[in-house]
Amino acid sequence: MSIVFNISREGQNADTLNPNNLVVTSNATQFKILKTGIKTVSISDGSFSNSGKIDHGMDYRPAYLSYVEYPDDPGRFWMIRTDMGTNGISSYGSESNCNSYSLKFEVDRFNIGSSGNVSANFSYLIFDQPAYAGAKGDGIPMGYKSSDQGIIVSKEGFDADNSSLYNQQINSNADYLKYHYTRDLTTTFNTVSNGSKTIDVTHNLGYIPVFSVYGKPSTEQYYTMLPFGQSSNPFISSSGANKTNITTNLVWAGTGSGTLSFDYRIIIFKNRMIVS
Amino acid sequence: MPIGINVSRIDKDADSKESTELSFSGDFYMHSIAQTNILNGKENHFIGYAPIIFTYYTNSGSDESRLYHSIGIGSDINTVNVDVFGDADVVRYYLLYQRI
Repeated sequence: MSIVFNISREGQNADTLNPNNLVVTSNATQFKILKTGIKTVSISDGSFSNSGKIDHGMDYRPAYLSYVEYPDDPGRFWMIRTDMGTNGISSYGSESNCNSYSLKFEVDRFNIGSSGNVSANFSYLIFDQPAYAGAKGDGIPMGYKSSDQGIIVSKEGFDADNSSLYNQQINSNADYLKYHYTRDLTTTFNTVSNGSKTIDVTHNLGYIPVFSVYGKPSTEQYYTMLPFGQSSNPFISSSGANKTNITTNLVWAGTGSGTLSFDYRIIIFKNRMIVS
Repeated sequence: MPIGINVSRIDKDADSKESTELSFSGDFYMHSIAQTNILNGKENHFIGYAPIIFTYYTNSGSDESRLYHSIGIGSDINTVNVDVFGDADVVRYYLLYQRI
């Protein structure tokens, strides 16, 4: 593909195909945010679970991120698909998934009985890029408005003025994931007996940021995105964010014989979780 | 770092350091650098650092048209490691410009 423009890292030559030396390159695809919002899902008295949907109107299955605010932990949004809260294992669980029409959110309370009406809030970001091969459709969500101002670079073979957003490498009119900074977190615990740990990392941004957390035992090789531990893994871990902290929970079953270290990388984006 | 490119929002200052005033900036830009579909297993990514990774997979144990995200998938400086469990099958991953 032809280079339209490159902006290099300081001290690097912009005339390169190595994306690691570049801050911006029209050869790479921007992860554009097409839609954000909050969806409230309520469980009525006597029920254990419920689900809700938002239509995204893009005719393909888009990449997305989602987070959940549980009824017993207001003000903090947890990474989706977890049953962890601030106090360890939560009384609630959550799930999200998408198809070509909608993003679906599910909440349950199997650990707390079915008495009373409760609500969980799901925040979401929907991206232009497909979460699966073979995207079709116009790639423009309902309500999306473009602008005559800015820079658009299409993918090769597409008209920058008329192509779907996912066929554009860069569109300066579109919001996108904006990297802010990374925090390292290392914690140790004794694996002999069962236990749990909660660690706060302060960000003090004054708003709830979009975030992503990756972790691994020091004995393992790969950083895996949280939450994890739903399989036979003896660890369960997840993270949540409020306006001041990223809270990470770690629960373990006592299957080891000594102290184990756990490494986390907390990625904080400039994007706000809740856009008013 | 000097600003390489800024595009302001309409009626805002392109010299601003505030992301709320800028619709686009090389100062905090992040693009995807790889994307592919994969079954359980490992793939070399040849990036030279462990990148941010977002993943989505179908679940043959439920409605296969639906895509779930991010369980059991990680990366290191050489490899994307896909080790999802149960009925999860095809995974699509995105590697992003910033390192973990």
